Amino acid sequence: MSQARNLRGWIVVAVSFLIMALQFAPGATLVGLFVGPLEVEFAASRTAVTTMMTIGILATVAGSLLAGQLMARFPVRSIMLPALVFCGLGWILSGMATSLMQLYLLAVVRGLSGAMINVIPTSLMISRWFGDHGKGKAIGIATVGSGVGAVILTPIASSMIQVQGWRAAYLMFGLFNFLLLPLVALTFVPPKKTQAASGEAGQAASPGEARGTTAKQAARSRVFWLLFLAFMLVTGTTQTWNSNGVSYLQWSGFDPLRAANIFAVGTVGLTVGKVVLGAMFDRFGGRNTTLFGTAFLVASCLLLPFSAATAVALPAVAMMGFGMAVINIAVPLVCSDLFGNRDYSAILGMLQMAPTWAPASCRCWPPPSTTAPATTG
Amino acid sequence: MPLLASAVYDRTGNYRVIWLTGAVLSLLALFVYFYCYRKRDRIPNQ
Repeated sequence: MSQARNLRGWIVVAVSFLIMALQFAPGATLVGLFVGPLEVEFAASRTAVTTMMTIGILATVAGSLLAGQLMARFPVRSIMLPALVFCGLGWILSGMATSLMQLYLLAVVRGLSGAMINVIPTSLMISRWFGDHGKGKAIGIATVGSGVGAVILTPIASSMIQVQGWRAAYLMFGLFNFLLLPLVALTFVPPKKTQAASGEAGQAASPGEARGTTAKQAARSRVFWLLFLAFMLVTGTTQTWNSNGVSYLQWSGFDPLRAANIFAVGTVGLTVGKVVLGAMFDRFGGRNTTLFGTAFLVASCLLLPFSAATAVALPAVAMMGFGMAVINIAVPLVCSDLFGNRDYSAILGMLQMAPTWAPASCRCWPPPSTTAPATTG
Repeated sequence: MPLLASAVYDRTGNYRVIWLTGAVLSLLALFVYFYCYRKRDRIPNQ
């Protein structure tokens, strides 16, 4: 890869990082901040408010499928730019909503358009710029943006909700989309075909370089559906941890502050995992890296039942975070490994539905007070 | 996993069982990944 091309590729990674921080994180991880304020504003039950999240997730699942199909036919940027406008307007109008029904409808707009902005197009563009050499590390670094965004924006959005109200925070999230608009317009262009590295996923320099299956062939194969199942199982496990980790640590005997601190170690593990597993994909291949990352999840789940002591809880949580990264990395990379670049974006869109649906089915178990064992933390 | 873990938790009331369920299902996913890579050569045009 030439130096100029290398630089442009890393600019795409930097913009992808910002997309994950400013566009993905608010929709995926910060929505929980608004539950209480929305309950008060609309005098609604918790179920009525969280239904908005479920609707948003289901719309994102449908949007993933649609994004893959559209990006297989049209330039990625031409899909992303209108999607950014729609998503930005979706957030801003949500901030002006006068009823929950309006919020439900706008959650559909945000979910559908959001799927066309974050995970799928960024993976696609990075794959095109880096080809088979370095895309794992690049995708890993870009996905770190979602964690950084969540860490930075959580206190900002929380104080904004307290001081200026939830509508102001929704407005801020909407403006982020418009901020990203020029960055995407300037940078999200594919490499010139003459420069295209052999085997770039979704960017064959000529029809002869296209390899792999069509979306139809993939959808009819047993491997596709088994992979879909595996992604669902892994995401189900990690989402169950995300929703219940702090409660479980309290149930295990830790006080709330200590439980929150131990839980935060998982975020560190996740950040490290994204970069390390991404780099491993380039060096050791998809199979070894996926097995390695998933093994961390298994080990963590086996340790967690015995995590009443800090010495066990810390490594267990760190391993959960590290293993959790496998899903961020594996979906785009295993997809190109197993199905090639012939119909990459369409197949990626279908596969991306598996990890997207998981939060919708996740359940938070009751607070720990009912069955807490003796404190040993 | 969440649905299965819910059922297990409801039946036992024990949080720990959830993670053992997670271990079993993650292990299953691990074998599935392995199987999929073994079968990759049989995917058409690959």
